[in-house]
This record gives sequence, structure tokens and C-alpha cells, in this order.
Amino acid sequence: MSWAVGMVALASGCASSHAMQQNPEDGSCPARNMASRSASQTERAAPDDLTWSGPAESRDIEQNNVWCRTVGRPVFRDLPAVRLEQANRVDSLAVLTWNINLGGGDVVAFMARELGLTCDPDGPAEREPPFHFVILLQEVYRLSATLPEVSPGPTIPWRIDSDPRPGGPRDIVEVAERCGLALLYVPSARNGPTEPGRRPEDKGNAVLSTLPLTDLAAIELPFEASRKVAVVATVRGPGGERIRVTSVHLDLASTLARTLISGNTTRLRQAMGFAEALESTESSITIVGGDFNTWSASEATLRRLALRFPDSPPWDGRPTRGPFPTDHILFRTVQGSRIDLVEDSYRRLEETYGSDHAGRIVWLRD
Amino acid sequence: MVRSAAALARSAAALAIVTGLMTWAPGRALGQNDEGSAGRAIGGAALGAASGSMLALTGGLVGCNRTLRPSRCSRITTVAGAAIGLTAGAAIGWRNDSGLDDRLESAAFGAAAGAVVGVGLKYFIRQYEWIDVASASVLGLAVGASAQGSGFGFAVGGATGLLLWRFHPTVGPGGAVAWALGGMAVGGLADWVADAVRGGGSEPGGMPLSFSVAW
Repeated sequence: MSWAVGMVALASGCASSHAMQQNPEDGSCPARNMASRSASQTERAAPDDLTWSGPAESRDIEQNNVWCRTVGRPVFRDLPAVRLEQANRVDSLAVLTWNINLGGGDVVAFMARELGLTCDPDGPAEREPPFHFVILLQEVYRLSATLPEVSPGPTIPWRIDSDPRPGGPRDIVEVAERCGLALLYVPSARNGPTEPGRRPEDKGNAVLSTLPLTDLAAIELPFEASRKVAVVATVRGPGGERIRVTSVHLDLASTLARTLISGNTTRLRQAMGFAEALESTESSITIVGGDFNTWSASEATLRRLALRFPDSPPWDGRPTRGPFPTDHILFRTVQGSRIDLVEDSYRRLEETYGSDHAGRIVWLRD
Repeated sequence: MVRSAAALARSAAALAIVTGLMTWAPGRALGQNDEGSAGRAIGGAALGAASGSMLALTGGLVGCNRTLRPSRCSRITTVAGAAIGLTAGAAIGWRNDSGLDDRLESAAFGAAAGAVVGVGLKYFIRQYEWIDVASASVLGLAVGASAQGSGFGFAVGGATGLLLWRFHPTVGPGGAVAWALGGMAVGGLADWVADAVRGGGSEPGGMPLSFSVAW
């Protein structure tokens, strides 16, 4: 007993490593995702130049691989080339983050009300949005008949099934196509097992933009309770400067045993792994939006991230999911950059559009 | 039906094993009267250390997560809690032949209750494994071994946290939970210390909470 107690005392607070590595070898799940196979119309554009980073610990790799076998390929949708020229004339850029609760949030209504972009339900939007924007989305889903058949089990989360609401499509690929937006979607897990009579769904993070997306990357986070993948892309912002945009979603909680042994550092480990991987792949201006699932704005996760993103806008004290301050935007500039955040532009969006989270917005300008 | 019965049997077996493991060593030491006070002190130290470390670890989970180094904070609080519990448990066992009997009994009950909760969680949370059931059982043991103090501390801490949240919204629900868990740990450890100071096994009711105000 004393031995056991001693072990508990010594083991408590022993956070696992968040060491990361780039481009896992073949045999890993990301490599299998890249492998060619029959793909649907929407999936055929899955990016071949998507670079992957992930945790270096063997347990994390094994768990992530097992979960990854249940999902489909990432989806990349580029903009028509003509928009590339326009992008170089961008003088300001809105960056938003929003967890849309697996289709609970109406993205089309969100863009119409908050961003002035009306999507033509019969095809790609013809008219330009009044300004350029990037939306960093979490908990988006994609319907696809090509997803692997899976049975209920520990790697298949319970289905989140928001009530269907009128007002537009919720599948993120369909939204991007209807609205004529660039999209990078990387699934991280299934939304429920295969069920007869239902098209299977996977879920993950996405970047939706009026600007072309380049230098695509996916970062598998250290595994805690479920597989999470941060999505990274680059846009040409005000003055044509490169801006790295990232959508990230951290776990709400780990298992009880891991919570005790790690001293409740679930999100901190994921966040540090994410930040390390991000720093190893870019040196441009970086803006991160996400659902960090934080209980408090003074949580270690945010405090440590703030050290790595020292130019982040200050939190306004307003929660975004019930009483919890879960959603945040982080910012880091580089020396010599002319882009900066517009003062006092960082705020919570009041309307939730059917999601259980409110979004956040910040403006960048030259 | 067969699958459910098998699962139930597995759960029952796990409960029995976990509860037995948690209480076997201190129970054996406390039950051997021929070992005298030394044996009881060892048993008390083991139970106190188990309870104190887990109480302190749990109590600091949210609070430590507000520091820049939550892992180090958790380690320090856990070791401190283990030391307090070990010392208090040894003192109680040394001074009083029957001082730990009630604690051992309630610890066993707590371990069993924790395991039941753990099994319930395992069925609802797909990622939970048996080690999580065991963790819940250990938590139950820690709280059960100092039930009155932990319960009182949890109530006072929780009420304080809720009040702070109400009057200072930035405290938030996370702050309220931190106060409740912290209160549970402080109350539970105070229960052990108070019992040790009293000599162990004194009047039921546990914590001698009294205040004198100097005019």
C-alpha cells in the first residue's frame, strides 16, 4: 500500500511529453489518408501537398492512428484563379473563430449576418463579399458515402445530432461550394458509427476563406481523450503579407486516470505540442483561433500560449460557451511586418446561430 | 442478456479487487493486535498517506491548473498531502488501538462507492478503461477515510466558490469548482490532523471546529 501511495505521489503531475515530429513515416494514418483510392467528387481534390506533424510519443501515435482509420480524406477546395489578383489588393481582413457544434450552427446565416456574404443556394456566389475574411471553424462535419464502415466502440464518439434547421446546408464542403469559398477541412474523428439509412459523417476543424489558401498543414495533437487535428493554411493578407491561419480544438477533459496522473494538464499538453509544431513550420505572422475548452481565462493553457503569442488581443471577460471562456484568438506578428490588429476590434459575436458556442472576431489591417 | 451478465460479473469482480487492494494492507496491519501499536501505526500511516495524497492531488487539480507549471504544483501538493496524511495516520495508530477502525471502514465503503461510480462512468464514457474505475475507487477511498472533514470542506469551499462567482463573475464556474475541491482537500487533511492531535478515535463528529474571538 505504501509502495502504491509512493508511486501515486511520485507519478502525480508527471505530464507526458508533448514532443512533436514532422511528417510521420509511411504506415501512419496520415500517410494512408494520402494514398489514392476511389474518391467522391468533393474528395478528389484532397491536397497532396498537405504536410503533417504529430506527437512523437508512441502511445499518442498509436491512438491517433487507430482513430484516424475511421475517417475520410481531408478536403481542399481552392478559389477560382481570378480571385488571387483581388487578394493582393486586400487592405483589411476579418478573422473569426467559431465552434459550430456539428451543424448546429448555421454557417450560411452566420456569414450573411456577420460578414455580408449572401450565398446563392443554386450555385457559387456571384458577387464578392464586402470585405475579405477567414473563418476558423471547429466541430464541422462532412457527409460522405466513402467513409469506412465502423461499429460502435471506444474510437467512435457518440453522435452529436443537432436538430435540423432550415436556412441552408451544414455540411462544410457543401457550404464552401455554395458560397464560393476556399476550404481546408481535415477530419479528426467520426460523428457516430455507421448506421443503416444514414450517410456516415466525420468531423474536424476547417478554414473557410474568401482568399486563396496555400501552404497547407495539419497538426495531430498529443492524444488525450480523442484525436484532434489542427488545420493550418496561409493567406495573403493586407499588403500582400503572408498570414498563417490556424483552427484548433483542444479536448474538454481526459480520462480520470490520466487527469490525476498528469495533474490535469490535458489541454496544456495538447496546446504546447500544437505550438511547438506550428513554430517548427513557419515564421510568418500567425493567427490562431479555436475552441480551447478552457474553464478560465487564467488557465495554464492560455497563460502559456500567451507567452508564445505575445501580440494576442486581451480577453474581454466575456464567455463564449455558457459561463465558460472557451473560445479565443491568438496572434503573433514578426519583425518588420506592417500588419497589426485593429485596436478594440476583438470581440465576441452575440448571436450563436444555433450553435452552443458564440464566435469571436478580430480585424487585421495594413 | 448474456453480454450484460458478463459485463456485470466483470464489474463486480473489479469492484471486489479494487476495494480489496485499497484496504488490504492497512486492514491487515490494523487487524493484527499482536503487533501492538507499531503495526497499527504502520497501517494508519499507509491509510493516511493514501488518503492525504489523493485528497491533495484532487484538491489542487483546478487550482494548480491556474499556475504556469501545473505539473510541478500538483506534485508538491500531492507529496505534502501524503506527508500530512502519513504522519497523522501513524500518530493515530500509535496512540489509539481502535482509532483507525472507523476510518478503515468508511475508506472501504468509499472505495466501493467510488468503484461503482467509476463503472457507471465507464459505460457512458467510451474512452474510460478499468484503470479509470480504479482511479475513481482510490478517490472514493481518500474521501471515505476522512468523510466528515472532506464533506464539510467541500460544502464550505463550494459555497464560498459559488458566492465568489456570483459577486465576481470572472471567478467563473471553474473557480467555484476549484474552491470546492480545495475545500474538500483542506477539510479532509484537517480531519486527519485534528484526529491525530486528539489522539484518535475520540468522539464521532470529527472536526473540532471552534472559534474564539479576542476582544
